[in-house]
Order: sequence, then C-alpha cells, then structure tokens
Amino acid sequence: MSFLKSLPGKLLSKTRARSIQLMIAISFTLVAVVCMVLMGVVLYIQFTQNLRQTIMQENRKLVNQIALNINSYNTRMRGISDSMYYNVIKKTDLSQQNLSREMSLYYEANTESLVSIALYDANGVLLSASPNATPKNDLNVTKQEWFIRANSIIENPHFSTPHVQNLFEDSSQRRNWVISLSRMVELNKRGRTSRGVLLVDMSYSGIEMIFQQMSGATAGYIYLIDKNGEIIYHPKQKLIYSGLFNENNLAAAEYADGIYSETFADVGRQVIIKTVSYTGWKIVSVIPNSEFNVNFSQMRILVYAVVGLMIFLIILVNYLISSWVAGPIKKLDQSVKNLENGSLDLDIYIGGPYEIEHLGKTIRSTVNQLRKLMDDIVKEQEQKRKSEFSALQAQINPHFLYNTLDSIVWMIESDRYREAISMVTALARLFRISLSKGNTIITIRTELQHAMDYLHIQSIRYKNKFTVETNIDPYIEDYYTIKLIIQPLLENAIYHAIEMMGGDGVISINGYFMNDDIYIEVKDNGLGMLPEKAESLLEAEPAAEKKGSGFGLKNVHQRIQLYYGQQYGLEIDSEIDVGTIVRIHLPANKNADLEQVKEGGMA
Amino acid sequence: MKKFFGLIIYVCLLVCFLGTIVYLLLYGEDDASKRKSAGISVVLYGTDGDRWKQLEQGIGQACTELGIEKPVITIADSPGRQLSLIQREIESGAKGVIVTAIDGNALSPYLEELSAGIPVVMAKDGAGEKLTCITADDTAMARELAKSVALEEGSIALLVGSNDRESVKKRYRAFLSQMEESGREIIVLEHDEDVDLKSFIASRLAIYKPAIDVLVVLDNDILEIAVGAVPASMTEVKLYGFGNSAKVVYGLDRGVIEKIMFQNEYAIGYISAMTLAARMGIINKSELAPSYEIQYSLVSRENMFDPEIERLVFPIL
Repeated sequence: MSFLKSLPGKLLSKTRARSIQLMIAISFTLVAVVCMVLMGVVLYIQFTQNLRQTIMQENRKLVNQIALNINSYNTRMRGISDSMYYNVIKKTDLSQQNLSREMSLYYEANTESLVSIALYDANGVLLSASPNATPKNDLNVTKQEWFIRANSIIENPHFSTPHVQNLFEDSSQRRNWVISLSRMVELNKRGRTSRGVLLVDMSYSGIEMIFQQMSGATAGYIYLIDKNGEIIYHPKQKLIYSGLFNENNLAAAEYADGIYSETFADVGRQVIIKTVSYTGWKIVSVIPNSEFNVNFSQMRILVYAVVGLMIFLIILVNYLISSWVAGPIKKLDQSVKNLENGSLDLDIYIGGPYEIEHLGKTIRSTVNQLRKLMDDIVKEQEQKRKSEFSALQAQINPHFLYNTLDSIVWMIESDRYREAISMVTALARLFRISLSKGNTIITIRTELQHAMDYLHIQSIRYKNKFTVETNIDPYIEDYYTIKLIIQPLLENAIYHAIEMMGGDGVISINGYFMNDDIYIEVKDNGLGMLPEKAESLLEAEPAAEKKGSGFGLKNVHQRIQLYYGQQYGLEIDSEIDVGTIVRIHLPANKNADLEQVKEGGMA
Repeated sequence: MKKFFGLIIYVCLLVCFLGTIVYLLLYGEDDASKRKSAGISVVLYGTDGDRWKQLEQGIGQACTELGIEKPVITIADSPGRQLSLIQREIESGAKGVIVTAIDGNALSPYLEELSAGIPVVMAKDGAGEKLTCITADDTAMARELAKSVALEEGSIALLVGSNDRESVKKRYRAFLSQMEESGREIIVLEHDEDVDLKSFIASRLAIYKPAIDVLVVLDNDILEIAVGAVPASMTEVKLYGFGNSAKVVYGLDRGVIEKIMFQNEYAIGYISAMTLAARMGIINKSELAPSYEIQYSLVSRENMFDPEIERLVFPIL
C-alpha cells in the first residue's frame, strides 16, 4: 500500500531527471495510446453490436425465408390433399370406380415430396393407395394418431409430427419417416356418403432438406416445432431423442413471434421465433451468445497488428515532434550550460518557436548586461586599487617624511627629547594605521586617531601655528569607514588654508549622526574659495602636481563613492575670507561587511 | 551514438513485431483449421456396412459439431484384418482411432500399445480393461432380456456362436445368471464353426427334443441369420435376441422375432467420437458430459412404433 502511495512521487522524481524531449515523447505516446485504446474499445463495442445486429437480421431473414418455404411446402401438400379430395374423391363413385389411377397421377407428380397417398374408410380399411402397396397384417390404422385427429376435427386437414410410417409391407427393410397430412373425407358409394380419411404422407426429408439447405449460412441453428412444442425438425434431433442434448422447445412454443433473450442450460442465447401460418408450427432460430464472437482469431491478429503498428508509428512521430519541439530548448539549455561553465563569450542560441526565441533573446540580453556589469566591476576594482595605492603612496610622501624627520632631528639636537619621542611615536602610529595590516576598512575611532597623529606632527612642524578643535560624537567612533579619508582633508586645510593665512589658524574636526548617516567635517578658518572652485575640486583629476601631499580631495571622494555608493562622498562649503568646510558623508556601517576588519593590535 | 543505438532497438522491435504478425497470419492455426487437420479413423467388425448405420450417424453428428471431416468407416471380419486396417489407417495419417473389437483378447495387447502413441477409443466392444469402451450396459441388457424370456412358457434355448467379443461374453454370463435366478433351465446350443449357421439353427430347431419353444441369440449377426433360419425350420419357435440392424428390425416388424434388445448405437457413436476428440485435444475434457448412460430398450412388435421406441429404432436418414 505504501509502495502504491509513493509510486507517483517516484515516477515524478524519475521523470524530472529526464530530458524534456523524453517527457514530451512519453506523455504524447501515453496520451495517444490511451486515446487509441479508448477508441478501440468504443469501436470494438460498436462493431460487436453491429455484428450482433447484422447476425440477428440475417437470421431473421433466414427464418422468414424458411417460414415461406415451409408454408409453401405445406400449401402444396394441402393443395394435393384438396385437389385429391375435391376433384377426385368427391366426384368418384367408389362402388364403380377405382381411385388408383388418379391417385397415382398425383403421386407421380409429387414423388419427391410424397411417400404415399392413401384413402381409408371409417373402419380403417384401405380403399386405395399410391404407390401400390400391401397393407400390413393385423394393422389397425384407426389407432394411429393421424386417423384419430382427422376424425376429431373434421373440417380441416391435420399435420402430424414426424413419425415412422407404419402402413404397408416393405421388403426393402426400410421404414420412412413421414409427416402425415390427414383429413376426413366424404366417400360416395352409390349415392350414399360415408366418412373416410385421406392420408397424404409427406416425406420428412423434404422438411429436413429445407432446413439443411438454408441453415448452413447462419450462426447458431434453426429448428421447427409444432404448436405444442413437439420437435418436428432439429439438427440434433437424434441427440435429443437419445437424451444427449436438451432443447428449450416447450418454452419456445409459448413465445409469440419476435426476438427473445433466454438462458438455457447455463447458456445465454438469442432466440428468434416465427410462426408458420395455418399449421401453427414455429420456426425457432437459436444463436448462443458465444457464437457472436467465434472465428475472430484472424481478425484479432489483424487488430493487434494495426494497434501495434499504430503504437510504433506514434512512438516515431512523437519522437520527431518532441525532437522538433525540444530541439531549440536543448540548444538554449546547452548555451546556458556553457554560460554556467563560465564561457561568457559564447553566443546564446536564438531560434525555434517564438517563446524559445524570446527566451534566448532575453538570456542573451541578460548575459550582455552581465558582461557589462562584470566589466564595470573589474574597472571599479581597478580604480579602487589605484585609489588605495595612491592613498598609500601619499602616506609615504618623501617630502612629508623628510620634513618630519628633519623636525625630529632638530628636536633631538635641541634636547627636546620628550617632544621628539612624541613625534616619533605619532609618526610610527600614523604609518601603522596607514597600513592597517592590509585592511581597507577601519573604525572611525582609528581613523580619527590617524588624523590626530597627523595633526600632532604638523602642529610641531608648524610651531603651533594652528590650533585643533574636535567635537566628535562618541557613538560614531565604533562605526566603520574606509581608511585615510580625514588626513587628506587636514593636509589640504593645512597647506591651502592655514599656511597662507596671517593669524592663528583653527582646524575643527566634527563628527555626528544625521539622518542615520555619519558626517565628519574638517573645518578651517582660512582664506576660503569661490563655490565654483570648491565644486571643481571634486571633479578634477587628483592633482599630484599641486602643493602638499599631491593627494587630492577627489581621491577621497571617489574612494568613498566606490565603496559606499554615489550618494556618499565629500561635500565642500567654502566662503571667501571665512573658511572652508569639507564634510565627509558616510553610511552608518557597524559591520565591516565590505571586508573583514582586523584591527589587531591597533589602539 | 546513443541516438543510433535507440534507432537500432526501434527497428529491431518493429521487425520482430511485423515478423510475428506475418507468421501468425500465414501459419497461425485457428480452432477451425486445427480441427480440419484432425484425422479420425473408425474400424468396425463384420461384413455388412449397413449394420453400423446408426453408429456411423452418431460419429457423423459429432464430426459435424466438431467441424472435422467425417471419417471413412472400415470393417473387418477377423482380428488380423482389423489389426491391418488399424495399421493402415495410422500410416495414412489417422490421429485417433475408434475401434469395435471383434476379439477383445486378441486385439488388446496391440491396442494398448497403440494407445500410448495415439488416442484409441473402443466402441460397443472393448479390448481389455485399460482401454475406455463406450457401450450400453451389456449385463443389465442381458438380465432384462432374460427376465422377459423367463416369462415365456416351454423350453428355452440359447444359441451361442462366437464368444470372442467382450460384449457377448458379458451378456452370456448375465443371461445365464438371470435365468438361473428365475429358475428356468436353458438349453445351450453351441454352434460348430464348420457347419453353416443357418443350417445349424434350422436343423437344431427342427430336430431338437423336446422341441425348442424359445430361442435366444445374444449377437446381432447371429440373430440376422436366425431371422432367416427360423421360418425355414417350420417351427413355432419364438425368437429373442440382441440386435440393431435394419434386418433385425425388419424381422421384428414381420413378426419373425418376438423381442429384441436394442441399444442406442447412435449415442455410442456420438460419445465415442466426442471422447476421442477430447483425447486428441480438439475439445476440452470439460466439454464432455461427466457421465453418460447409453439408452437401450426391449422392443417388441407391439411397441416398436411407439414414439419413444421408433425414435430409437428407426434412423432418420
């Protein structure tokens, strides 16, 4: 049971792994085969019904034909009897004339159908017979059925059931089976009438022949009964007499004309009844249901052959159709597989039906965009590397290093050891933070430390020509930033603002949150500049040739935008004779998700 | 490569399928053709083919129902001749044989050996216990005849001819037994084969003292001869016997024979052929009646035209 439940799932999982062509071929084939089988079943049912109907119609026609023949045969026999009676017996005075000649004429004219014609008086004495024969000794015909019936209803001729003729001596050692047609007749002897019986013994083989000639062409068998159900003819008559075969003849006698379904001796069968006029005999056609299906073996093979060929054809056609449908998909799939393997330069297949073509175009467009994005990324990475390299290069500016070391030497010579140590310490920390063990991202606290170290060195060099004010929101210090973004701003402030002004310079560093972003400002009270000039600083190429470190605001601005996006970077507010504010706009980034930040032993 | 392999499989299957269909259409045997090819032979005893009319009709009916060709009936008047006829029929392609054994003892070794190769069915007269024999109950028939004979007054003689046939042996034992039970004495007239049977009967009837009033014959062939011999003996002997032939029935009709024990040889023929067909595999054994009883009847001149009796006695030709 559990196997059955899991079967659909197993099948599905198996088909999932198959190619679309196989799935299309299998599903098309299954659908076609199921449809074909259904159609076959319907056609088979229709065919068998039609066949059944045809057989029934044929049998009905045959039964009607046999009824006509039997009726015609009986009519002919009755005609002989009538003619013999009305034309001969009634007109003959038996005391003076013998009937032998006329009787012989009738007999000779119908010798194939007749066994004998005989005339008896009321006591059963033979008056005349044809062919001439000697009556059996001690025979009392008045006890024979035909004689009794002729005298029971005197108006009509009577047909008997088949029996062995028991009238005459016969040296041929053969007894004939006959059907007797007997009637009461009036005998004329010298003007006095008396009763007699005219007997026309019809050859049973005549009836038998009618059936045997016509029954061969039909299914089942046909038999004849009288109105009481007594069998007159049956193809298995002897078997019935021997008790080796049973017939439903008594029930058939009760049926009116028509078609009936019955079960007899555990066999379902169709029965057609037709009554023969005058005699009331019934022709019964019996078709066992099993006979509707016999002799189909060749046809069955033919049907199997057609169905088998159809299945082969369907498999072939479905294979071709699935191949035609799945071909473009497979080609597209191969293109995508190549793409998966990293072959971005390969062409994407475009073709097949509209949908597949559209899909190919879309994938090709996507791949092109991917290529462009990858190119952009490569360019961006290249730019980052260049910017970082420039920033690092700026940190080890020989001019700055020379001046700083010169200042340290000067301090040592002036016995200002404490200041020298402080400067050396600041310089060392400056470079250590610049390197940061190769990390690009550092905390704002470290970046501010780096800036302060730089200012400490420069303030010694510039002999406290400027003062530094800091106003940092302590909460921003734990956030991360790319390194070396404040020091270039301080350098610019020192070289382009403080150095050129007459009085004491003030450099302010402010850090704060605003709108969930972090802002760090470097403000000086220098000469300031025109707004156009301030704008051009962020657009121009890094001005390595300019005075100072050669490392421009543009570099910082680009690096911030490369790492954090176009909405971030530098903003410059400057006013002539008032000063300049350079504002760093950063995202509040508490996770070093751009790179893994390892501050190591940094303070 | 995979595609090519699939194509080869497809073509192979298609060729196999078409081959099978063509073979079945050309050489496949349906039931009808299988039956047509079945050859049945019938070997009987005696000298007169007409004597077996009813048996032949029964076999013919079965063959018609089975859709097989009606067999040629051959007869022989000696065991050796019967053996050679059976041999000839088998060599001619017979696939099953119906035999009425003229001498059960002589034929049984050969027929038992033969039955190991092809189906053999005995009809009316068997050959040993091993071979199936389709026949009426000879013992019961003989007892019934004996009971009827015992009612007759006067001396009763039993004419014994060839006792080689199993049926006659059974009848003989049963008849004597029943007569003994009825307290009637029997004169047994044993026919010397060197003497003409008809003359033997006529002379015995004429000269036997005390006069024989009732003569009983247990075999159709002897009864036929007795029918001619009794009138010739100019005696008033009443003739009883076993008989099926038209000649015997004619004797009964003429009043020469008092009563005959008549068995349904039509049924024997029909059942024999059906049994053989089942043995040959033409029909299933389940299609055979599980049991059967062959009708027989004691027929006299008075009842021979009764509907039930005349249907048994007179063949519908």
